[in-house]
Amino acid sequence: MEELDILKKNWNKETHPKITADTIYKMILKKSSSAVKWIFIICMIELGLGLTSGVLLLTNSENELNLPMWLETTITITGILIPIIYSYKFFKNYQTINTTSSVKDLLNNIIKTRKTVKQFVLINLSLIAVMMIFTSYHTLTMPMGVNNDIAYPLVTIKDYFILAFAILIITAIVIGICLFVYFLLYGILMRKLNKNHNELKQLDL
Amino acid sequence: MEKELEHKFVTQLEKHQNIIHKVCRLYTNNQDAHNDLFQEVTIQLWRAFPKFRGEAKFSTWMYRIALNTAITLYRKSKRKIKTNDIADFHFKIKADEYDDTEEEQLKLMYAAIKQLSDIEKALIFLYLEDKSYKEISETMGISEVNARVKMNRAKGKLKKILSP
Repeated sequence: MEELDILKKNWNKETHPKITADTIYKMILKKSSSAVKWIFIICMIELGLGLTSGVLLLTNSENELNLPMWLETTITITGILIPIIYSYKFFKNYQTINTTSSVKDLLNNIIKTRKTVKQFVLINLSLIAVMMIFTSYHTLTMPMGVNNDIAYPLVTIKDYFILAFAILIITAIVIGICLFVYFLLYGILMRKLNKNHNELKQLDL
Repeated sequence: MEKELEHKFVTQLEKHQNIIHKVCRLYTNNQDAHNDLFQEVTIQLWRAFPKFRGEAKFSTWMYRIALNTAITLYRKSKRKIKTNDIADFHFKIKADEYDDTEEEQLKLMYAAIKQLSDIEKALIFLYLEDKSYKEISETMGISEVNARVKMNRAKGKLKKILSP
């Protein structure tokens, strides 16, 4: 291609304003504004939230909710295991993010790290949802007078509706915040990465 | 120790800075964005420098990090791009080799390259740097055959842009 060859011929003749050693010294002290840095920060926040919800699940399971034994055991075990496993996986993946890798490997590793945290958050949310369903069901169907010291002072059908409504609102807020983070923040941050990743992936098909 | 490492890095970077400038030239549209990307590449290089063991040449090592930064890490500046920025910004060829028609063609070529995807720009950059298909495939993480296919497609796209 003629025009490209003309550019190739002139490619190394172009002059650029020379950056002095002094400026380079100043540059290396500055903070990165890279997309990956932001993905990492948000992942850390998600991990933090996940760990907190894990702790909450454990604390809740210690309350006398009279949940079935198998459910309490399952919640306790998953509440401990999942954050540990996923924190380990996240840091292992994060360590493989290396700017000296090939473009494709770097993109793969960033996307893999992101997927790990996404999985972790979704599992946590599912656990919270299961907990909420069981707890709500248990509270709403608990026979009055049997466990009055911890039972909510619900006397009328209206009270039950208010409680069910409150649970729904809280669940909706939690899910709403999560959806906002996923669709807005990651949409912006991951758009370019996903686009470039797909372009390279298509070549292998 | 840190000072020594810093000095070594700055000396090498000062010497090879043209590689970063050339990457910025293809991936940015104005001087401010050029400076932003230059800075981001420098930060990424400095971060990776302690692991640089000198197995590859400093310049080869720079290619990867500079391209990776442009393709994966750099978030385009939100500054408004002026239409004349694309063709005119610091476009200078040594005076003794100045050729009016050629310069016009080069301007058009740069404008055409700006319309390519990030991946295609990387391939064209490596072509302009006279890299072999083996080196291109290693840098991009694709097979040599795919590098050829992709390169031909990128060249075809450029041709189409230049002569619609």
